[in-house]
Amino acid sequence: MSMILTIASREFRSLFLSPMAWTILAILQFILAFLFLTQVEAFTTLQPKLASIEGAPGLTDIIVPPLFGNAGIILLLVTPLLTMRLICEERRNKTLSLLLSAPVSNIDIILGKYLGILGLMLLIIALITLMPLSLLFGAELDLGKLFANILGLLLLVNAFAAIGLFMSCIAGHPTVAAMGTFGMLLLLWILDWSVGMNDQRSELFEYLSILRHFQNIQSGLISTVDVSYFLLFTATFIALSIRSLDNDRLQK
Amino acid sequence: MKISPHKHQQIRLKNGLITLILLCLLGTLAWLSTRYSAETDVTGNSSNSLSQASQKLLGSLPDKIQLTAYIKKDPSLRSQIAQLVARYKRHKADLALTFIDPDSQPEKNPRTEYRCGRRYYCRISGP
Repeated sequence: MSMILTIASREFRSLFLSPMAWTILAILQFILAFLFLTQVEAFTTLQPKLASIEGAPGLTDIIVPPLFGNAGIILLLVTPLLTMRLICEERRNKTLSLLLSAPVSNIDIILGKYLGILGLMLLIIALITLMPLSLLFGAELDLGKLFANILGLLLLVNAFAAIGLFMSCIAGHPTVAAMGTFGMLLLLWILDWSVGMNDQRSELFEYLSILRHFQNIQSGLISTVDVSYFLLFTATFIALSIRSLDNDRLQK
Repeated sequence: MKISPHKHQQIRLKNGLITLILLCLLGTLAWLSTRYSAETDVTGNSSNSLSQASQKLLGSLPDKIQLTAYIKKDPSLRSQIAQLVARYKRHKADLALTFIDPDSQPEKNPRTEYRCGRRYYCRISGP
């Protein structure tokens, strides 16, 4: 356990040594702050109309789900860049053999790398959450719905990071890993679109679609199906990463 | 232990099998999670739940309910309708929803479909 944390904290700190993490944090925050302000603006113009409708969407409904939904899309683009180096770079720098021959198990290495990148993701989510929370100074928020959105985004980035880690394990070059991760995430994201195009709905495609599960959680209805989808998704790719590293240890 | 090519192949086969079993296990867990599920509505005003009166009314309907939506292939509109119906489906399992696109299947017109038999034809038109 202590080895996992050592690898994780080393990975987390090394992210901040290069300008990469800082740049991503700054750009993400800037874009999302702009989107957040657009939503607040939309709410203030809609407010007089909404007041006359019974059961109209409230402040939280108008601001929080679009903000977290957009954050999900932007993280889909950003995660491949963050995860591409995890194992791939070690292999290219020939430091992977050093790591593999150290007295740590493959599980420690993979989980450590995963937790390290997850640390940065948590930081991003915390910064995003601060924006709607700042509204508490002058308005009331539906904290339940906000919680559901945070949970949704958290599970989403868990899945993104796991798939990125796996791609970094099997790819020979970081760019290939990034492209692979991006392609796979985008495919899983848009899988839902084809579902709506046919009259018959495919249950398998519906289940596999990341977007559907994410939106279900975002609506505030937390179902064990959606939560376990993300947990199983993450577990699958972490397990596959460990297996792939096992194969590496054997064959090289 | 000396690693001969034969031994190497054996270990590879074993590794492949373990991965396969692992994936099957995760697939089974995913299937089980869709069979046995629980939900909780965490929104402040319970906007995802039906009111008591609606639940009572839904419980008093003995027959199966088949909903057919005659709308164009607009994914966002269709998913909104599916989400609305899912709210009712949670309280009545034998409620089914199908979509028919009036452009690609003009022969399935709601008027001809509902001419015979004791079926209710409810039309909801947009603004």
